Amino acid sequence: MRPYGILLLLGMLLFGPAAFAEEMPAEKILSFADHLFEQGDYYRAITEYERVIFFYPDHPLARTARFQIASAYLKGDRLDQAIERFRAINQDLPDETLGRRAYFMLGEAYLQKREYDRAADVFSSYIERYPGDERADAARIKLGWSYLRQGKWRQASEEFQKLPPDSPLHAQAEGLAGESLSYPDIPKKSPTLAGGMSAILPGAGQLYVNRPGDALVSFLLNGAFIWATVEAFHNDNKVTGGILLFFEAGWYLGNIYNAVGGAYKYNRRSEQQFMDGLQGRYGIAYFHDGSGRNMVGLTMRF
Amino acid sequence: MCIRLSVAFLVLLPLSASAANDPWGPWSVSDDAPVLVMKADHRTAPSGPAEQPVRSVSSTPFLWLISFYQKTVGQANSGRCPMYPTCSQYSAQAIRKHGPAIGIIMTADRFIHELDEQNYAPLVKIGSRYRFEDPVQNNDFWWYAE
Repeated sequence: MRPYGILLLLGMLLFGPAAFAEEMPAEKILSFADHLFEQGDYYRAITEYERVIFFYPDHPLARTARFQIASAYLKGDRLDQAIERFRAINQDLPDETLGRRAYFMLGEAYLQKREYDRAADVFSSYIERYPGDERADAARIKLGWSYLRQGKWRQASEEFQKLPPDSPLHAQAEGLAGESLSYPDIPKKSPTLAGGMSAILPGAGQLYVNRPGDALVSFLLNGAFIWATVEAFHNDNKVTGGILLFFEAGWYLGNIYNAVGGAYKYNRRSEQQFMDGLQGRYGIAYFHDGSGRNMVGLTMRF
Repeated sequence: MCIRLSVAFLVLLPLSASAANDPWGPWSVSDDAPVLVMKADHRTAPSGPAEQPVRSVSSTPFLWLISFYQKTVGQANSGRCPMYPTCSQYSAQAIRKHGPAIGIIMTADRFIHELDEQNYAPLVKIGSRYRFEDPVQNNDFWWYAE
């Protein structure tokens, strides 16, 4: 009896997956994978897309599944994997719609990874390789964004201005071209001035970079340690004075470092607010219409 | 049989625990579709000094001092720090990354900016508690490229 049981089990193991594949067409597996993708369950969605590729390697949907795997990595913040996958798809299908889309998304992944110079290279190359593509104008906008993120506002403005007047993105590009020119007006603080002020009076640089809490802590700490050090030496207590002086040196240098770092943080925040404002006013979105055709959408706020 | 199963279980247990931090293990960015171990929970074990290589030998005595503090005073005082990593962890990381001189200056900077940084730093859940995230790279980004 026992050998029959083992044979039955082996048979189930051998033919089970085949039976499953026959029962589940690629469309159904892909549909389930898309469902997981839409729910934000990217990890499980990838498994299902892989299932499509494994059971139906020659099916046209296997290519879609490959693209979706890369997209799931991108959405799931696994940017290195997404970059690798999108690049591979483009290399395998350079002249097909999916390959072009993959190349565009490669630039998008670099943008998300904040590697703006690489994103600029990809979008620039996209425009050169696929000048007539439906996403070429969007790629130019993204190229402008990549420049702007690097602080190259003149180059960014020039890119935005290159969009043809008949492009659906022209109005957005025009607005961005104008607003990019206000990049130098972003309020900034001088790190040198902040550090210099704190070197003269601990806490002064922090006040300059709008960090009153830091200013108070810095002033009180340095004041207390300077006073204690002076008192110790005044009372001829050189060992205590030396120890206090050692600590005060740390607080004093930390105070200068804090003021300089505070200025850089202020500038980074200002720049981020500027970018967020632009993104909110001239955001760009991609979606599909009822027939699955790619569409570009604008969000403009007034 | 039972012993074999127990051994297999014991061998698999650490493997499954490490899978949470493994880039190939389950992951999720959505609360609606969680995996078994959530992203925030990964950080219940704080990133200690062991994560970064020691930059210079002169760092060692300072790291010993910090370690001594963490094992004595820090044990009783650990719940008070609102920041992540805690100041002693931050100090050890800064010393390991930049050496003792810059590390100490960055530690002093951390003490000074703890108050205002809470207005800007993102909140992260570490274990059962929310803390303000202020890693070393948030304070050396302006002069040190990773």
